[in-house]
Amino acid sequence: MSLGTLLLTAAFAQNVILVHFLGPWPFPVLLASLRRSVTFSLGITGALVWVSTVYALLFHLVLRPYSLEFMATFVLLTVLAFSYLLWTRIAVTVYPFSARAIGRAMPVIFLNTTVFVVPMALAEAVEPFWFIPLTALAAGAGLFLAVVPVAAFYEHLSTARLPRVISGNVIILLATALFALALYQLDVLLATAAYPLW
Amino acid sequence: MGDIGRGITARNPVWVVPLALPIALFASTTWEMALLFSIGVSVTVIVTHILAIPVERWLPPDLAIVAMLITGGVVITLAERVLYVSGIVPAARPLFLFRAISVSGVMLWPALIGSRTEPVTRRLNRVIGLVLGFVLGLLGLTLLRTSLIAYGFIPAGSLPFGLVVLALGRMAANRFMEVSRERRGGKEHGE
Repeated sequence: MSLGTLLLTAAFAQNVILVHFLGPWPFPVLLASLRRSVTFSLGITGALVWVSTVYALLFHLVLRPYSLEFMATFVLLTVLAFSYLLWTRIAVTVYPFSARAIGRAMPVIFLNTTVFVVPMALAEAVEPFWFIPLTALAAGAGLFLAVVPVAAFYEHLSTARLPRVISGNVIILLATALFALALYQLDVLLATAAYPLW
Repeated sequence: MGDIGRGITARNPVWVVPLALPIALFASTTWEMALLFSIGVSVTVIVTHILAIPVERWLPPDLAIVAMLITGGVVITLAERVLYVSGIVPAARPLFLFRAISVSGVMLWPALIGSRTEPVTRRLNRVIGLVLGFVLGLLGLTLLRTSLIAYGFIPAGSLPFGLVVLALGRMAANRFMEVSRERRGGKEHGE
């Protein structure tokens, strides 16, 4: 598969949120404001590229050559645990006055379904190796393109006088459903390029 | 209401707190998947917490998540081996999701909001409540979607439809909470 097709697939046809809902958790917290959604989307994209690259290296250099693929979950979780620690320490060193905010943000960035599923799928399905970080970046771009418009929609509606019964998560779920439906139309156009990555 | 009751009702991870949405949306289109995920996630989440609690308390506070992740990795790997030996081998995506949701959703959440000084029984009650809430929520959603699919309503299997159903469920929960709040307010006013 060509790199262009792979990137289109990762960003649109297999969009992590609007096609598969591999939602970062806590989804409503992430979408509470436009600014926050941009920051978290960029953070998760960075985490995706980092974790996918490190895990793919271990998968291709250790797990596959020694037939240890059954240990994939353990290895990925170990990579995540130490990446979380490493990047938290780096962030706290660079921004020492934001230690509490960093402590709250890092679990959202590193410990979510997107960051678990995408690296596993990429390591097993994508070759050559240097395509992996680029595809992870495309998956992150897809996440950004899904999360930011939903956050904008939510931010706009949260200032409107709406009945309490449709407050909070209801708006987020309905907005995501609408955007997913819209992407589905585009997905039909991209069907020829689609490749089941995750 | 106790922690177990709250996990099933007010903090249900499928219908109220959008914690286990990826798996609920994915596994609720067939009964086989719903049962596989209900049993698998329940066992791995409860066993992981039982094993991780003593390790977490022994390690420095900033390493608590590391202990949880590595313990979870071992438990999920063992669960996968059991599935493999018993001839149940989920295809790639269900397998990835099984691993992912076991850790990211129902497993990590009680650990992240819990405190190290919290009694073990309280933490376990919260975990059991979440797991029961997850299983009941998933089975309810599966019943709805599979019935509609069986009657020929094909879009019931799609992601947008799943999200709309969950939004309707959340609206019902919001309404229920609003009515209970009003009743409580009315009672206090009466007194």
